[in-house]
Amino acid sequence: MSTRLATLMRYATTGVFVFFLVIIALDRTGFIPALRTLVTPIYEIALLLGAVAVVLGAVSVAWSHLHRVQAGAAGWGYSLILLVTLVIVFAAGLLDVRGAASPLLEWFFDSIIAPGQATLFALLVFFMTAAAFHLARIGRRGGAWLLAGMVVTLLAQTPALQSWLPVGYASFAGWLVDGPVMAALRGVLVAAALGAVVVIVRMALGRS
Amino acid sequence: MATILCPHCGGRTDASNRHCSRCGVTLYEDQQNAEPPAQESASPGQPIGAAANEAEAEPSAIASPSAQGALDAGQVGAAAVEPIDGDAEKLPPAPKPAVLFPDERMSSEVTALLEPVQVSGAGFGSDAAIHVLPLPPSDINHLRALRTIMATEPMIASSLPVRAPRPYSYRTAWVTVLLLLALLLAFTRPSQPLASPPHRWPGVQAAYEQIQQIPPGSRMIVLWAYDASSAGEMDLVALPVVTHLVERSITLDVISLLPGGPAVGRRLLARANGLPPSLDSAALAAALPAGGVFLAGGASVLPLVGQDRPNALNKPAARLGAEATYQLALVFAAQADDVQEWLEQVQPFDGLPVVAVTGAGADPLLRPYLDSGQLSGLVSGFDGASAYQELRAHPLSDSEAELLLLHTRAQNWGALALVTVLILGSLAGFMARGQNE
Repeated sequence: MSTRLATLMRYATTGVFVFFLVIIALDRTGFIPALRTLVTPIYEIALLLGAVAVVLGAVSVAWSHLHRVQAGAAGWGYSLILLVTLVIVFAAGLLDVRGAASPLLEWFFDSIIAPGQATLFALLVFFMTAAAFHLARIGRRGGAWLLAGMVVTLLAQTPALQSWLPVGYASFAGWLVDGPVMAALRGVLVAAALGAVVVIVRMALGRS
Repeated sequence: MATILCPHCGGRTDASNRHCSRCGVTLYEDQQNAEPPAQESASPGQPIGAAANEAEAEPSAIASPSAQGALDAGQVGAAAVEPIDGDAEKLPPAPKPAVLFPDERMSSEVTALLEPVQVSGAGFGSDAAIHVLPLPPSDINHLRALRTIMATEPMIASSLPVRAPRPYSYRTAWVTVLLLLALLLAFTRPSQPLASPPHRWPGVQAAYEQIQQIPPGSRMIVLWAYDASSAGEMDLVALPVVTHLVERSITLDVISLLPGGPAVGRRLLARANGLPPSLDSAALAAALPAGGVFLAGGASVLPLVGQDRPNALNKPAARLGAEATYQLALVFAAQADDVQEWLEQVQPFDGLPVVAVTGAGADPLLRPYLDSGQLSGLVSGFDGASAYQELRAHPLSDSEAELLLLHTRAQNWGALALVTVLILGSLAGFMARGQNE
């Protein structure tokens, strides 16, 4: 691609980005109600792009795993299972007029997908507990704060201890979370959001 | 005079020289048995100064520069080289350099492996002769060791050395055992009512009143923002609220940003109705007319839900009903981000009050929204679900009430186990530090 064309495309991309940014920002302020007719199709385009991205992702996964099976790469058996499952579930939804509401798809979800997802997510508690065991220690740097915060919050969240804890303990724990903790967290969130804005602007201007 | 090519640098040098005149590498392994490498025809040229010695007769004597091999005309630098005049007889005899590594192969990868000698003089092209002076023994040994390292080729192991397996450490396994024991106690002990009612966090009462105010038979927009991975907790948290909605015959228009969200909503609605989780059921279809809509594109399409809801749900406006029937928006989410996105992207457009049903972890992040009035109600965690259930006039079925009680009890044991793990972790840290000291 020639340098001139690349520069032209960069300016065009920046211009489109700035145009959409200004239009959507003005629409959100509510100063120009007529912009709503222009902004709604933009969101519809985003919806379509999202749907296309989902389909593209599925095709990409199938394509890469098909190549793995053809090449006999390590673990090609798992790729074959994935492809077969993909074809079966796709066919089950395609052949039934009810689509995603077909009984076979519902069985797939209720019997395989839901229990599998729940099982994987349930393992998280063991990893988190082991991590808390190693990190939330008084001797470690910052560990005392972690330990104190976790113990205070856990005790307040335990239903069985409500009658044993002092009066006002739950309120104190609530204040602790709503006040100092949220102040620190919001500072981090604002900083992260500002950083994201800077990155987006730099990417739009081609200065990444 | 016959010249040879140095196997190290490729330079031409006199065949009688023991060392290369360019790089100084030893050309012959053995003084007595060395065969000079392939010789080339002698080329006329001028001798150059070098740290080369006579090989046979006077190995310790420095060869006169005039007697050494000369550069060929085609060799680099040959034109610039001037013959060096000097009288070899006036030069002191140089010590005989020992054959340091007779079995060592010359490596083409290592540059300028010189004999460990100190060379004094102006170098090539100089009028002065070069004197080879011996180094102190300590320096010689160091340089010889360095040369050995640089000259040997790296050995590639055919296989990595097998490490002895470490004995299994029971330090962190007991954490898992403790958690499993806590869960075992929670699920195997006979169920009993909780000794104390759960703490009624702010927002539960407000959520109940918001739903209670909606006329029976109304429509409600619902964002189902959790899937099967977090359904273990969220289904129990959302069950009292969903059952309350079913009792009031409220129709739900479910949308989800997750592919599995509508299916999870279908299952919970069927469970609340006491029906099999299949949309073939007429009763379930009546409670969920839209069937659940998955919106691809993530949070970026949420504004469309607020601005043009029929288009977003891909349903005609007449089927969805007029906007006036939507009196409340309900968000079922495992994380606070989904509720925040709804409050930021949708509520400014439709202005509907929002009630959030979330996991316990999202409660701290959403409480400020409740305090500011953006959230009209907040139900979070098992204790929030238990408190909501206590407000309802109609209790849950016995099995559902038993299940909720069981999970609340498991939460008690799990929290106590986690606190125990944290305290024992600090003790372990103290003990380890004491042992190290």
